Amino acid sequence: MYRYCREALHDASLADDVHQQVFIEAHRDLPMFKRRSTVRTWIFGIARHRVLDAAKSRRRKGHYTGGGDPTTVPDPRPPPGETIDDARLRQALRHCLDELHDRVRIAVLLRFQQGFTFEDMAYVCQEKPGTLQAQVKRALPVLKLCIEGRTGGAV
Amino acid sequence: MTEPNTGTEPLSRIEAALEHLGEELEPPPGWEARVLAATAPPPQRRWWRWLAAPVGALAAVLVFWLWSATRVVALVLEVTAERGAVRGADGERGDDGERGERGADGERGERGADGERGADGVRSARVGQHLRVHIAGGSGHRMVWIYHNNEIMKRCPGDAACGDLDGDLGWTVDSIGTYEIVALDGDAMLPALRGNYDADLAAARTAGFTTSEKKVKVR
Repeated sequence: MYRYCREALHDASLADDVHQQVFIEAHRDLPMFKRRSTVRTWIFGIARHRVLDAAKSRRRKGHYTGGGDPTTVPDPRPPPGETIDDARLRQALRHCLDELHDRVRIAVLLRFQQGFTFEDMAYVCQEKPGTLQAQVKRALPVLKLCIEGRTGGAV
Repeated sequence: MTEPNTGTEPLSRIEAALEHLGEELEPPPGWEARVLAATAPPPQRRWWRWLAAPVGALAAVLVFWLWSATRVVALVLEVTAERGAVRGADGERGDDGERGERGADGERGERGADGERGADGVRSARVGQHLRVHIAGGSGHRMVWIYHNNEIMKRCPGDAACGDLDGDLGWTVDSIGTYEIVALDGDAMLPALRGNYDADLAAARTAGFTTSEKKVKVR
């Protein structure tokens, strides 16, 4: 959950707050949990709402300039044409995820970082599985292009 | 960001990188404690504390009601002599304000317009003076009996020209002697009266009446 909040918001302090708030709300709303999904899916549903709220609030305040998380300082570029290493790939990936639309970024993280099925994601995101699948499918090539553009190397 | 024109590139490295993204990240220490602290139920007030204020108010009302219901207002009898007393047969002045002798209780009385006064009202008067009786307090049926030299002279209420017990009850003394005035308060059955001051007073007390007495000597 914490990883998800951090990568979705790209801001350590904000992620700490959201992560804590998610568990506070889960504790509060647990009696209303109707067991139509797993507890994990239910909690990620809460987390998605809080992440979107935090991202919107940050945009409204105009405080976020991107790249504020110290874990995302980009490494020097590799020699042209050379395949980038995993560490550099991850650094670039963080920046490129940040450029995606909030809802798309969340869908990508839920699918690959958290390993949810599209059916579970549909519960979390309150959208159709097909819609989410299409969003994720379109996002991956976008990320690839972005990473290659940032690093100058092949993925 | 532009839409790529390709959908067949091997994207497995990106998927793998996404899978491991943030693996090194850990939640800030103490986050569980903060969540538990934030979700801890507020300390419950004991149920009886909610009742303390209304019960206290109810008790205060009850105590006041009991106090006022059982409160006994003391019966007070006062006898006064009006100004304009006539000169007595022995030639003593009754209205010139000369100082009188000390009363029985050691307080210095005043002889003059109101005759000889003690701290608790007039104790002596002269023939021709008008005496007034005032009663106050009491919680039951109130009466005033007036005797002259131990013989009944007037019972109020009951006798004609009694006046109002709460206001104007008085008479002009027309003979020397001792006037005994008794105020009574009570709801008991009135005993058979003999018309004798001592006997009637004893009978009334035995029947449960509260009494207050005064004697005025008239010269």
